[in-house]
Amino acid sequence: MNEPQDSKTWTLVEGWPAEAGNGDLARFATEVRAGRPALSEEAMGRVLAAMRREMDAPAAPAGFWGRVSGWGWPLHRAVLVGVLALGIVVYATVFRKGGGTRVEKGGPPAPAGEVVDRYRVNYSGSGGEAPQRPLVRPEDYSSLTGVGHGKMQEEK
Amino acid sequence: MGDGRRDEIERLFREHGKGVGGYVLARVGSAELAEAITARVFLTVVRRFDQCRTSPAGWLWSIARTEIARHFRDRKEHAPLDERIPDRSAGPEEEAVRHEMQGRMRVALARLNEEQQRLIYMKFFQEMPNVEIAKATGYSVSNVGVMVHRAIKKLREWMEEEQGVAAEVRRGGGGSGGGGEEREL
Repeated sequence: MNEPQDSKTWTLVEGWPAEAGNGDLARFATEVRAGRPALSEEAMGRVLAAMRREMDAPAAPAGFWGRVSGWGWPLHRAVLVGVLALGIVVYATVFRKGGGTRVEKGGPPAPAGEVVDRYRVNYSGSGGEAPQRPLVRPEDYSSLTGVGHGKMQEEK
Repeated sequence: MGDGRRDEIERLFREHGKGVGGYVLARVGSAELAEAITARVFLTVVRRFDQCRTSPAGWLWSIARTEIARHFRDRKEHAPLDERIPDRSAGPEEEAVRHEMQGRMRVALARLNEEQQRLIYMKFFQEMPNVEIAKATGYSVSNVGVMVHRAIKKLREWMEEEQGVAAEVRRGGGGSGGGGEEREL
């Protein structure tokens, strides 16, 4: 059963590199080959019988994944197309609209990627009119601006 | 199952069955276990024959290796086994020598790396010529010769080391009763 198909080509020392101790090693290999264990013919016969029983057994009903694989490529393609479509929808709704940033209605459109916050400020009792006095008086900060106090007075 | 497929599987068994069984027996040391593991290997062959694409010997090796590894994983829960089918063609002394050598081979095989185990399996148990081993492994033919040579040297080294350990155990009164084999598994 297990005899080499071509005993002329099968040798233990085939392709060995030339070394001094090859003679001893070849003797060792021959001993090992002669003494290697083997299952009995009876045991191998039982293995063959078990194998034949398995081959004769009716095919087990396919489970869910077996049925799915039996449907073949059309199902795989449909799943792939569905996943791709879902990805495109998610990309369009989340990323293309500025990552979910809300822009106040009526305001100018924000450039892509820019976050815009707007605050409405009400002055109490002013009725929405601008104050009469300046918020900052430049003459108080002449040391910072370098503009002479007298000159500013002349301009006024 | 179709007749063509069935014939192919039976041919695979005829060509490689004994080699697989012998290697499994060399690794596990128990004829009963080796028969059960070999049967599992060939049941897997029947169930997954479609997966055999390139080299049947290489594919069989991967199944046998998986089943042997599973055996050693599960075996941790059981007591070590050391039973062997007696060779009725040999005398008691010859049988004892063979038994001792097979024990050392079992330990030494387990100590080889996976690639060396595969080469020893193909060369000694499947008796494949280098050109077929090259096809199954993807190495060049000349490389296979060098690697087999190296694997056999390593096998000899481990077997000689094991022989020394066994002799030392015997000199020490044999208290552990084959403790060398215990290291293997």
